Amino acid sequence: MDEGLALRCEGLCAGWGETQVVSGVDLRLPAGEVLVVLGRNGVGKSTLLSCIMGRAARHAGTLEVAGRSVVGLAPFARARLGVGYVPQEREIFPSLSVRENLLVAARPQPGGWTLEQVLELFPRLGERLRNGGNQLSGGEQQMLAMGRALMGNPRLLLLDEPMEGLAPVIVEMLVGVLRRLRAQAGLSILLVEQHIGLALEFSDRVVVLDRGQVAYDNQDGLVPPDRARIEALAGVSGEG
Amino acid sequence: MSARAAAVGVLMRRRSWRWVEALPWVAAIAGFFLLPNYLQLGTQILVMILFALSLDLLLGYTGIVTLGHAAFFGLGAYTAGLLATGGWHEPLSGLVAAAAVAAALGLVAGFVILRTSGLALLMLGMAITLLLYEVANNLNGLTGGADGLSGVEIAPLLGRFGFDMYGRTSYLYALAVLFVAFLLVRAIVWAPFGRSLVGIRQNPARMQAMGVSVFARRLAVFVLSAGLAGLAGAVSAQTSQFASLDNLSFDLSGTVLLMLVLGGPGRLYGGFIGASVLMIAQDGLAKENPVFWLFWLGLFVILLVVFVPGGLLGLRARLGLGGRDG
Repeated sequence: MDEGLALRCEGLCAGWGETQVVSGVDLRLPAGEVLVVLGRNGVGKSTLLSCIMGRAARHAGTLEVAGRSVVGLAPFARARLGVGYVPQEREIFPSLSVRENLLVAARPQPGGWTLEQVLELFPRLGERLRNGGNQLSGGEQQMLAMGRALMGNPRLLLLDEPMEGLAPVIVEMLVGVLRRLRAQAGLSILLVEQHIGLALEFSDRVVVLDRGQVAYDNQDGLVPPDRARIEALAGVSGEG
Repeated sequence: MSARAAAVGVLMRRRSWRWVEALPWVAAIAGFFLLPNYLQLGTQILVMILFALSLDLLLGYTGIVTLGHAAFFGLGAYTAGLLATGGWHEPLSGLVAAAAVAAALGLVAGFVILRTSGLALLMLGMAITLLLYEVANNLNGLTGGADGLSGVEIAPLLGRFGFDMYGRTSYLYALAVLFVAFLLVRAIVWAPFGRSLVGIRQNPARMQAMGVSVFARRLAVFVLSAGLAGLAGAVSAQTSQFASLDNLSFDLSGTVLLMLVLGGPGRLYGGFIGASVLMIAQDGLAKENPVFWLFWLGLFVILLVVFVPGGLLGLRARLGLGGRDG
């Protein structure tokens, strides 16, 4: 049964050094699905992703990717198992060109993503191939961070607030990209968002974090998410 | 894997030669004909450029700051020297052997010191140099101790070109070795492996998250750099027909670092500029004022490091004359 899960964790406690940020979180993400993690600032969403990638410390609990425990594995080994991570900070290499950022650690696979396909997904990057990583707008950086993650041919994509701080026209474009990624066979996505309306467009599978714990759990997606409760737990005043 | 080969091709094609890159080589060949009395100094400069190039892989590209690089230079020098005094006089095989021995030390040393970072890494590098220095100092019978290893006889290059007292063969030999090593380093830094070193320098955690074993890459470049430093040491011993404790000194580690920072790290040509400027200034100014010239050099370096962090080549980029860093 676990073979069908792209990601599974039980009782996951994580944090930075001795400080615990995430306490006892259970997640089940079936292969090919999208799971949305919502929550206000500072509730542990990014720490959760960091812990799955192996950056933040795991204090307790199980953590499995595609049915295999990744506890104790170095981040690079997790990436090779198929975890792709697009952090909130985007982490573009400033001294490398756009093309070099895309190719520097590409892991080509038969039938997998190629440079041409990534550029077709993000035409803007094709116009910026020779630009340095430090010569990009915020939206272009986000596209590059996502395109670079795809060049690693991940099976599980961790996206940390990809729309944050971007112009509406860019957000619209990225929404289109996420729809296409959702339709891609075999790719599972863990999407951390603050924008409830946007997030619920992608999936009925929703978890709301509050102070490091699961405050609302609809991750099986069997019933439509309870929008009123989610907004009470994760809503930002003024958001429609 | 054809997709990977295509990706490599895309990266490699990007980096075509620019005409300015011919300048140092034209200058070096012109120097051979125009300054026949300075070929010994020229050979020393070429050796230091090669040494600085090896350090550039570590410092400029990968961001590993070390003050122990003389260990590999000195080991290469003593290996080449001892081969010659032991009866093996052929120069090219001596070079290869010296580079291999230095690379082997790089593998062992790197395996230990690359697990650390910052101050600990700096100290461990220095400690390894000190250890080698004392070993060479105490093995009097073998290395000549503090007197140095003399009697290094090198057979004619390719059986035809003898290492004469005018230093013509030495100069061209050092230039040829530098050129081949440079082609290798240039190809490496623009290949995906080299690009990943830049990525490691700028954000090791990101490279990890992209599936790159940062330790393995750092170790690989450390071995390569140690081998090239050993190569420089071997050329030094073969062309000067002498190896000494100076080749293993802390002073030498500092000097090569100074040359690279002066010229501009991470730009391939930083060592060319830094070694030339420093050694020509040393030769000229030291004759005029053997004590006080270091004061002016120190002042110049302070101003450069504070106001132009990228070295002299950084100054060129800053003035808008091109030159993207790597």
